[in-house]
Amino acid sequence: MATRAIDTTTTVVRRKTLGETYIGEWLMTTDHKKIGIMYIVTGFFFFFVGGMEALLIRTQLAVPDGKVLTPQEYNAVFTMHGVTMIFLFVMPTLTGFGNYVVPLMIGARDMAFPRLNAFGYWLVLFGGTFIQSSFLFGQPPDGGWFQYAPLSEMSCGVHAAACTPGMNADFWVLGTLLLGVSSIAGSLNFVVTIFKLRAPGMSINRIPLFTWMTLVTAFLLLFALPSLTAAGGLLLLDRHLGTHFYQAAFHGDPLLWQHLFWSFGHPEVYILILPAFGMISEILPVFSRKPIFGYTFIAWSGVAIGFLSFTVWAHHMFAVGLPPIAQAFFATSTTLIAIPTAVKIFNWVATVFGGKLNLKVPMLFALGFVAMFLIGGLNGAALAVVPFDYQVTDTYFVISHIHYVLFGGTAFAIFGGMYYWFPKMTGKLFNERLGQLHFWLMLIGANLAFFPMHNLGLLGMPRRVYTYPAYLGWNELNLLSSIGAFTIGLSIMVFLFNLVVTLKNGQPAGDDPWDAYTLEWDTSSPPKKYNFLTLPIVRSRRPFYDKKYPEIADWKQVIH
Amino acid sequence: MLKVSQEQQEPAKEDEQPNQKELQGADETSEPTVSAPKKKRVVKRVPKIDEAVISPRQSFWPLALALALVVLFMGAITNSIIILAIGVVLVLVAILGWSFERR
Repeated sequence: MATRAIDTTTTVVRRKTLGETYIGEWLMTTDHKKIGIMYIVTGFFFFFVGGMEALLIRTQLAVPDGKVLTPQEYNAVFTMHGVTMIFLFVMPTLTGFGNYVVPLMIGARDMAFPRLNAFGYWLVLFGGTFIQSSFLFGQPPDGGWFQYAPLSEMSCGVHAAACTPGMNADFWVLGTLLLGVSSIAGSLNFVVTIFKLRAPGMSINRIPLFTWMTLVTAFLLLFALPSLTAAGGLLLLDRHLGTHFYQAAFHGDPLLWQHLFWSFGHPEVYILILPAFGMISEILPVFSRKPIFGYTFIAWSGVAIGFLSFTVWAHHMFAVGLPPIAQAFFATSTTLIAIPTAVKIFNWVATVFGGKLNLKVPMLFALGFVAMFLIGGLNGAALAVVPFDYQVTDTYFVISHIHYVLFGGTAFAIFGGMYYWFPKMTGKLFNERLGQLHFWLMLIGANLAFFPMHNLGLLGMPRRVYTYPAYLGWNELNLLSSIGAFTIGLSIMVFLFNLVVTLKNGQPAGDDPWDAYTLEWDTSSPPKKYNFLTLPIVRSRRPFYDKKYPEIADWKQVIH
Repeated sequence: MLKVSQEQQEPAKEDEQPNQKELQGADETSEPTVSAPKKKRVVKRVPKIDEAVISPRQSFWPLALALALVVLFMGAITNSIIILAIGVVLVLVAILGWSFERR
């Protein structure tokens, strides 16, 4: 006789809500790790956009009398290259790493204000899209990333000559305003998270150095951005409501823009580099198998740099005719800021010195950072000397300096951080050989691209020129620089290929592939949504090292 | 607040029973002896994580507010009153939605 089993269990079938779908999870997420990944992906997307713009510039300048871009297009492309790389690549990517790593490093389960965190990210995405959409309107910002007034006004002078009558400058002002709101949201979140959500025992003297530098950066943003917002607000009033804050012909002051902009702009340089310092301070000790040398000096030199960064802005303006006393002050403060910066370099070198070096890709990028940033720092110190600055201001020497700092420095650190924390984010290890190829191509490309710019600057090639005649002796150096830029492009292609290969068939990383020291590695890869099952107790600056090696734990050896 | 699951609490009851060694010792000595004060056993309780309690809820409003702000700015930059008005309405809706969202 046939029998039939009756299933007594009941199943409730319902449609998934938006938040339960794969796309919805990302759109509605408030998880700091997902938001961090979205920041990084967005940052890298804009890196490719800004990189394309860089290649256009270098194609135009590769040979004399270049015809690839018109002067107007060239203005837009170099402006958007700067805006994209600074506001849409470096800042979001560093914020992304901070978002992902900082709560894990300090033993927290999320950021203090998760929704505000999500809001900050979406503003970056939409604000970036807003600025880039200016190309669709045919009116991209074209007055440089600094948008000097009165050039960025609708009209200039008593005869009302047209300056920037279109929407170009408006896109810049409103776009940076949106991105500024995002940065304020992110900074508030970092400050509160780091002060209030640290694991038990993690005193301020035990927080990891990347967290330290993120904290200093957050304060810099909070204090520097109002200046940019005020400058942009006044420019909008000038442009649309008939005020004349920046027009000398109407008793305004064109230098007011420069003061307001650079009192944001120079702290901004440190906003772009301090988190990179933090990343390097995490990577070097792990791959040298030593604790960081001079933790306290590195941490507090970061704070010193933060303070001093607000006192140096007019070194961007030596050539405008500042009074001698102002020149002396700003030259001195600029030279002073080299001291805490050099302290960091010495500490990094001392960390590596005598260590058991493990030259994996993150370490290569970290060492590359130290070398490249050193060059950028030295030519920066040269620019602090007023008579020398007079000679090379607004030449390619300055372009070389900023690229050694922001590409040789920050971009190298970002890639170092990417190779270092990618296994934690995805559970997969990058292909080591492809990573090494990426590093060497990028190192060679960066030096080929940016070192000749020193000579070009000394030979008098001004920045922002869209072409040059053949008889000035700049041809070979420009060609060399362009070859370097394309070599960097090639290295990025290798990185992209490595990324795709790794995501598809990458070697499993395990939870702690680098035998690291800090708490983010005391989680699964990728970490669970709640990060830690139980909140860790911290007794030294290397809590995960203590846990793995209790017999030689730091807190048993020295007082931390 | 962390929840402690029922199954993780149960072993604690078993531990309260005298263990085998103590029972054997009691058999060997017929005379009652003064024993050292018993150490109170510390039972490790592994907290069970309830994601819904400790994780922040998902929310659509941060995205909505950011998008609304960009619509507003797009209206401002193109001098389009309609887009500007839509932007203002969207911003208000997003702020209200965010404010009254169940946490």
